[in-house]
Amino acid sequence: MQALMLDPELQERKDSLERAATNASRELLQIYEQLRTLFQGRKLDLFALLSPSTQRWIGLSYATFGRVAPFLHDIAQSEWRLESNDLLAEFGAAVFTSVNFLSKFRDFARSGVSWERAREALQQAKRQRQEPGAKLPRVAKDRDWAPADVATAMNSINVTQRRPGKRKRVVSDEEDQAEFVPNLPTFEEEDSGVNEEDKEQELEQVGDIEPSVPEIEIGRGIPIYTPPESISSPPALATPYDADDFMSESSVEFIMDETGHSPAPADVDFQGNMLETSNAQANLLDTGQKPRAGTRSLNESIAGDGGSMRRVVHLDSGGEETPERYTSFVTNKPFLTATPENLQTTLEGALKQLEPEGWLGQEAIERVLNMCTIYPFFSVAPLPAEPDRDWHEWSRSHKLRRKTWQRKIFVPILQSAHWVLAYVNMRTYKVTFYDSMASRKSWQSVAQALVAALGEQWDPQVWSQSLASDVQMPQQPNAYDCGMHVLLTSIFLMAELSLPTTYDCRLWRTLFRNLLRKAEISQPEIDTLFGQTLCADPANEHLRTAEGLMRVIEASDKHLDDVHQRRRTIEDASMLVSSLHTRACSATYLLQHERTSLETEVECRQRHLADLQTNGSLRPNDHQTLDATRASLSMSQEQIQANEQRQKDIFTLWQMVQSVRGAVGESDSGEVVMRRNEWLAELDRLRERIADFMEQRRKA
Amino acid sequence: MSDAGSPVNKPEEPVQSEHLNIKVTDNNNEVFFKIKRTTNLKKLMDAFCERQGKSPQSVRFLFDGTRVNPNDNPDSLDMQDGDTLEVHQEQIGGC
Repeated sequence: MQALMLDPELQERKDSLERAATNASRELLQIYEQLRTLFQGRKLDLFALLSPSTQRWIGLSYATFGRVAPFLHDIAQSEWRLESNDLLAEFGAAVFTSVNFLSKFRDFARSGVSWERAREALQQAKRQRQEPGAKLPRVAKDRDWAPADVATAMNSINVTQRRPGKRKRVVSDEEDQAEFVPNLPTFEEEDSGVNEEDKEQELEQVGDIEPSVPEIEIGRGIPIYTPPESISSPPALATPYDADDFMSESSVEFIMDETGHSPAPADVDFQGNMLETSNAQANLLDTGQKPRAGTRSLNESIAGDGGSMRRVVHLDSGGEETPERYTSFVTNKPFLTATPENLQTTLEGALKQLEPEGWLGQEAIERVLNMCTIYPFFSVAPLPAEPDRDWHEWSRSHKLRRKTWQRKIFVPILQSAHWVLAYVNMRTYKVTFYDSMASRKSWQSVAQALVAALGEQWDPQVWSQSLASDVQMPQQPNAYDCGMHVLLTSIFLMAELSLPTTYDCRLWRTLFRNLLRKAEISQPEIDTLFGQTLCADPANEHLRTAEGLMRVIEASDKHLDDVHQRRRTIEDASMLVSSLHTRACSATYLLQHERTSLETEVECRQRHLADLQTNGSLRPNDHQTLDATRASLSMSQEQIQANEQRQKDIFTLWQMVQSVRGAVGESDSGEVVMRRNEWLAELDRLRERIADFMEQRRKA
Repeated sequence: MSDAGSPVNKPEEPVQSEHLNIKVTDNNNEVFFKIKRTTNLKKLMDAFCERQGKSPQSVRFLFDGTRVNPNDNPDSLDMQDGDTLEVHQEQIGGC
């Protein structure tokens, strides 16, 4: 209520405070995670080294943003009604970094046992573990709380056997525990510096204050498990990996990505997989290990999505950009030619932009992506100048609503004359920015604006944004190819290939130009693409002198290098285009399949209508459903046509790549190698002759 | 208001009137056009460009986020009275 009454300025400052808090927590987690990976494999426990207040902060950040958040939510909802503060008081901050512990604890909380009893059992279990002659020899004794404690406690009150269908394995014997506990990452080897005795006293006290929870008969707790919950928080699997391996991945980057809210077929399938694999593995599949294999994992996560469904939205943010600004820019940057020609919103404009060293505009990017995108969902909409203020209205006035099954959205963004690609994954709730001039710039507000435009609420607990680092994304070596990088990155991502280290922008510019023109690539074009074919003709007079020969040989070496490089890039291109083509074909196939089923549906409905009509019990809304089905049928028809067109375009592209590939064929370099060898031999002969000559002169 | 007074003509209500008002806006200017439902929007676009001193080749018109072709008309785009066309200039970027 009060928030509504604040005046805009205060409101904004309040928001920025909140953003700052969120960012600070995330940064904290990020730093901690990075440090953690450094500590991996050492006996030393990072967490225990931290000061208690830092531990507390990290614990709370995890509880708010980390993977454990869903578990905490469930625990708070369970009969025990334990909020994170209670848990913090009870078990210390370290447990918040342990998914394994909390997931087990969640299960325990749902088992219907009363909190008093459970706590007793837990204490008991911990004491047992820490006893000198404990029966779990491989479990670290000195740590405060271990996931094994929960398991033991659950065992001791016989609550492990519930939910037989969901749990793969049940922690019921010592072997399991002994097996999985040593796999825990190091941080639990030693625990937070809380003194054991103090802790227990504290527990007693807390216990006294604790509101007494009515004893619930065990039977009641059992059937809580419902499908949505199973999605929002995977059941604790007592597999070895499930330990805290979670934490070794960046749990900051992929917050709650198991919360696949929309139970689309793909997700359900995925969840199924996840139940079979261990959690840790499932997470690898899902998110990939962000820190290093970012691009690859991204691709994998695309692959996991059954990727024929996508849509490309195309925004640009430079609403305030005016031609005047460009021209003033032009004077500083001589290569930039913002002319009336390349600012045209026509095919000619696009072609002009695609010329070597030309800056790309919406026109070129839109047209090329339109031809290469497999699924015809592509729209262009500029971001307003000030997303924070205008966004709401903007997203209302534009139909940017994605289809429910569209999970991957590619958004080229133009900001201060620089193109950046935003990739929105609606399944993992992540916005990734691909910047070919990676800077440390914050993309938070743009990400929020994008998500809002897609009709989603930006919730920092669900959504996250990140910037692909310069190792994950090719960087432009010049000041004109960012548009090309955006184009190629989105195409590579659509084709589900990992990004190469560089893009051959000259080659691609030629290809795209010809694609837009619908022209065949010509020999002169190929020649200019790769520079002069050979460095010297045999009759050249340089070949008479040693110096000349050496120069020619050097040149041919360079040429061979070029040929090599060129062959590699063309292979990349070929692979990319064939992958695109395959995808286009399968998308068309899928669409055709869909059309067939729609046709049957229309038929069925028609028959149904006829039946109803004869019965006289026709309702108006029966007609509507038939009409709706018909509409989707015709839409599907359109989609098929569009897709077939794309298929053709991509095939043309493929042909072009093949002809370039042919031109860069073996013969070319073979000839150069041959000549180079001849020249080398010639050089040797020349040297011999010189040596002979010198010898003779000396003798004389 | 007076329900009895209006029924004679009822200019707005009967399905759709022949003309509709369309707002055309770039970030700075707003221009209103009255146009027939079946007239090609090319006419409107040209008029706007002429008024603003821009070349029709240098701008794009968007309706609901999608691009408008010169030979679309309000009917084909399912436009309503008072709808807005946005005008954007081509923007390029490189570094």
